[in-house]
Amino acid sequence: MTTTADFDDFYRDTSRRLARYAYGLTGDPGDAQDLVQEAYARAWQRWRQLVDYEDREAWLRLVVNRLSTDRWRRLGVRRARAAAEPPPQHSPPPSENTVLLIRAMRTLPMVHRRALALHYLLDRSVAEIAHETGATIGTVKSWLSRGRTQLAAALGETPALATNGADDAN
Amino acid sequence: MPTDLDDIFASVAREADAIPLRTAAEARRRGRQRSRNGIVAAAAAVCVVAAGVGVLASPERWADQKTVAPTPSPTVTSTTVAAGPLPMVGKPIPYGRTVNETSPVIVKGRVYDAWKVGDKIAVVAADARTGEVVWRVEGFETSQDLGAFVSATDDAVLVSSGGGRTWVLDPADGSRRWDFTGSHLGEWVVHQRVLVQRNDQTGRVDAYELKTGQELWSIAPSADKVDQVLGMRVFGQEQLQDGYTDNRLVVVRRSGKVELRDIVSGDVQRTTTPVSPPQGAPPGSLIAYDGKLYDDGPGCCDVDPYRVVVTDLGTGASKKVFRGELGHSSGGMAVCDPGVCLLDREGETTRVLLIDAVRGSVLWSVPGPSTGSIAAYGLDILVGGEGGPAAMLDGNGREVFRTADGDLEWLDGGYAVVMPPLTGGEVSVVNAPYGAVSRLGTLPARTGPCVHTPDRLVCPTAKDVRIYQLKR
Repeated sequence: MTTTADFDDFYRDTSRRLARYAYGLTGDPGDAQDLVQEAYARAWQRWRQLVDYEDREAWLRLVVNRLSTDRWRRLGVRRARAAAEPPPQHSPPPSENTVLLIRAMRTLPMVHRRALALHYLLDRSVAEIAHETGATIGTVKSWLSRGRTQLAAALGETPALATNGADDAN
Repeated sequence: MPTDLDDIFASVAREADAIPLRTAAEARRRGRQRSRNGIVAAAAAVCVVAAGVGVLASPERWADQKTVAPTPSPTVTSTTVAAGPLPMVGKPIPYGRTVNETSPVIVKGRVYDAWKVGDKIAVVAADARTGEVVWRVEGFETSQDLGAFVSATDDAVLVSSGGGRTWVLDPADGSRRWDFTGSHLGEWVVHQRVLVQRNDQTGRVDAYELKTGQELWSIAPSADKVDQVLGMRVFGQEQLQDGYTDNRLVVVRRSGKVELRDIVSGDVQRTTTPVSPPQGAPPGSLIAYDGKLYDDGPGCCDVDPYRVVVTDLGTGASKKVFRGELGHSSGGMAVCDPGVCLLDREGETTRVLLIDAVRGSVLWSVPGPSTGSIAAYGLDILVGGEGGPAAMLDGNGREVFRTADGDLEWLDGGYAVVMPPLTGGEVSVVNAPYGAVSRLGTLPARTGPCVHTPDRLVCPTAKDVRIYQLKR
């Protein structure tokens, strides 16, 4: 398989999940589009090294993490895209639920936000999140638990409504 | 709304799945293009920040007017009439093949450009005054997937494939001196004699003698990792010069501590912890200018509103001079010496602010463009562009010039050049104090951004790179 075909397959298999993750972090369809595009652009830049990585998707999420916390880079991404490419297809605005959730997510520390996005949007188990982040399982459980509690508080709900059994995952 | 987080997240996931994504081919194309941008990023930063010098501040010019309403553009005065095509200097310098896009640079009277020839890179150096080719070399190993980019200082030419490897050449004849491999998201700071690079993975910093590649000093990885290294801009610095720092290097640690170091020896001259330290500050939110560090990043923990902190790295004095409102973000900052110019954004609404960096008060605030960036020359400001309208504001926030479809870039001495879209059009120069426009001539279609000095404009086409005369 050629390098290009390999990359294109990887893109096809993973880009949707990355878009979920980016959307979960930013709550903005346009930002999510930009971040996904930029992450894969960077992946293509260093594809030769990435092919040896155990988890290339995790590397992409790392790039999205950095870009999403980096307002300036996000602006740079959008500027670069606007200068070089036609505008992306229009995507509908976020729903009320999404707006409320993302607003609440933004009150959380980034580690909690990422853990919640991995768990709820990508169906990653506690053990998988621990592996990806290098944290202990206990720490990840703590992130998720505190994240849910803070989310519930921000949404005006009780923590009991905000669990799907993740604390029991391994 | 649903009362269960599972339901809400499921709703978010469904919306995410409906976001239209670009294709893998577009990502690959962007990756190649991004490689080019990486090597010219330092030069671009020079344009924006060095533009903040040159006009002495005159506080009385703006201290008497706190806020001004936007005013219509003044009648544009044409001082010259375009006489046809922009005059070319020498002949076009051919690539010998069709090239999608290149990024030429102009340094110390030389034009440099690089492009791919199969799996190798070709580089040309030409005299910007005459257009005569000085040397042309070929043979830097790259691959089909990578690009070809060039940057330069007075004493070195840097050629990169965009894949991490960079070759340092002798500007006299293009011969190879040494090469190095950089980390993916790390950055460089280039000094006339020294190249400093940071490894973003480890935080390690290495300083090399630019001519020889000899290691001068380093900062080993530590628990308090180095998050950024920045060059220091000084008053009067040439705008398009890539060797863009004086002898001071600014090192920002993860803890927010800021070290001022001698870039040649690596010696720490002073360590300062600013008020509201730049913990994890994103690159671009910090500007080191004339001995001070300007920071418009988020305050803390990625949830606080942005703020502007000015720290004197010589004395350690540090002050938070502005605090953004919740839900607002900074769309860009420039040093409008002795103030700070800001693009304050809330959704699609943007305002341009001038902040008194001593008193910490907003001197004026006017509506601004929803796209583009900000660049200052003293108290004169260029805002917008990059697909949207661009405008020039004076020190009182009054609009003195506007263009609907071109980009505005500082030229020198309070003049800005108005560049047409890539499809071609007229090139003009605007005089900041009066808004007077000189039409210089027409430019044909080009494949990428042009670069300029006060009297030269260099633009790439698909077949060649061309040097034009900027005569006003």
